[in-house]
Amino acid sequence: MTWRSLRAGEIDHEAIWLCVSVSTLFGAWVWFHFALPVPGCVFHRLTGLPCPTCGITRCLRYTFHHEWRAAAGINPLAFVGLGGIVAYDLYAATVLAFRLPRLRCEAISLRAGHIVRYVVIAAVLANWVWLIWMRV
Amino acid sequence: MNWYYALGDQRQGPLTEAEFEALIASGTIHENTLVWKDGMANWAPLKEVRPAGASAAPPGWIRCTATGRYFPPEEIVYLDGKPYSAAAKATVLQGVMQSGSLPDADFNRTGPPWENRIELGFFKAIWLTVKGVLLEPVETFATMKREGGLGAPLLYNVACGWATGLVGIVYNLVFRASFTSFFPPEIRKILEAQSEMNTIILIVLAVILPLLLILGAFIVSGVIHLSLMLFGGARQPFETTLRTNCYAFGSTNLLQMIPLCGGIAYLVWYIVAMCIGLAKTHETTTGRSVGAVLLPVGLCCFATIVFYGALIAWVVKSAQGARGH
Repeated sequence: MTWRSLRAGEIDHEAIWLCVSVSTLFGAWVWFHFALPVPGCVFHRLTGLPCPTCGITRCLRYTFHHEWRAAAGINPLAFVGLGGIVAYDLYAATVLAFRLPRLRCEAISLRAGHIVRYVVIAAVLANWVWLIWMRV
Repeated sequence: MNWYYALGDQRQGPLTEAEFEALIASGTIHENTLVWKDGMANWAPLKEVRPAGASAAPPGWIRCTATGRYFPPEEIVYLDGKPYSAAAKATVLQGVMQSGSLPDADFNRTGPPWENRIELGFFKAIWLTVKGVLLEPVETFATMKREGGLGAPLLYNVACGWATGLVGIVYNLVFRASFTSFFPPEIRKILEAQSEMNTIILIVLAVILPLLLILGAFIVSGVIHLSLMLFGGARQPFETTLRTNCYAFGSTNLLQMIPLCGGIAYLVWYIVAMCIGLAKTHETTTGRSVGAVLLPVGLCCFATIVFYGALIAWVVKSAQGARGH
């Protein structure tokens, strides 16, 4: 991990992902505000079990209403993910506003890559077990 | 006789015959570079203009993977099965030390034709790109530029996606009455009650569709790139995945204009094009590429696939029931 200035011609990931995430969150807020229909999970209806992404919509809805505990309980991984998005947006807005160096991961070692992979897979599976356990 | 050639979005030239030959020999102009000279009706790849002699390299010389220039065989060493010249030693060492992989100059990657739309013309470039992705995906993605900005692929994505979306919206508005007649009376009542609201939503959708297409391109490409990283197949930056996704999605999305079976044809061919595209642009294994595409599809779109499957089964069952009566 290094902090460095943006190179000439390099993609400005901070600007792009800040725009994408803010637009998407705003779109979701508008969707909920106008009570537009949200399709149900067919996997849940067919099997009676939640799919790994079940509860994300409710997590987002609780988050918009500042009901943090309920949001974290309905889909913990989605809640952590939302927190990550907010943290990234704050970082991106700061480096863009003050023209600061950017955080870049130039090369990931094979070992670190494997660790990250297994952690992500384990997190998704653990989250799914939680969703089934809590009958989300 | 003056020669011109395309470098990205820029037209280069005029060049004399000697200057042109020198650029071919140096690898700057290669067989897929679009060229034009006085007297030619349209721009064309060098290999079509000079089928027998696209390369001005002396017979037997080998092209260096890193520099794109030609060298005699005694000046070439093979690393990981690819030819490298002694002149590329510093580049090779730097590449291995920084990223753990051998450098590979993209001198053969100038496509798809949309990248050369200024020379080819807007509609011809779209047509050739769509044809390439749908009918020759391996060749198209093997020669796709992996970097060079996000503007061109996003514009292609929006152009194709917006056209398809508008056709779909018009189709929906015109044929809605006929479409609802297929449903049972109780569902038809609900659909007709929502008709006015649906019209407003469709018009708003038509206006904001380009924005949604751009957002969608970033989100889908981001998810697929993370998935590819998870499978250990992301050998190129995010830009390459986004470019692949834009060309695959834009081209296959047009299939949705085909009535009835267009949606299924699009979904299947999009997955196929993405699997081939990622394997060719990231130069990773097909297994990793397929896994990276199917993982998000399996996680997020499983419900959609099951829904469409159930809908088709219900329509078939209803049709059989109606025939029975």
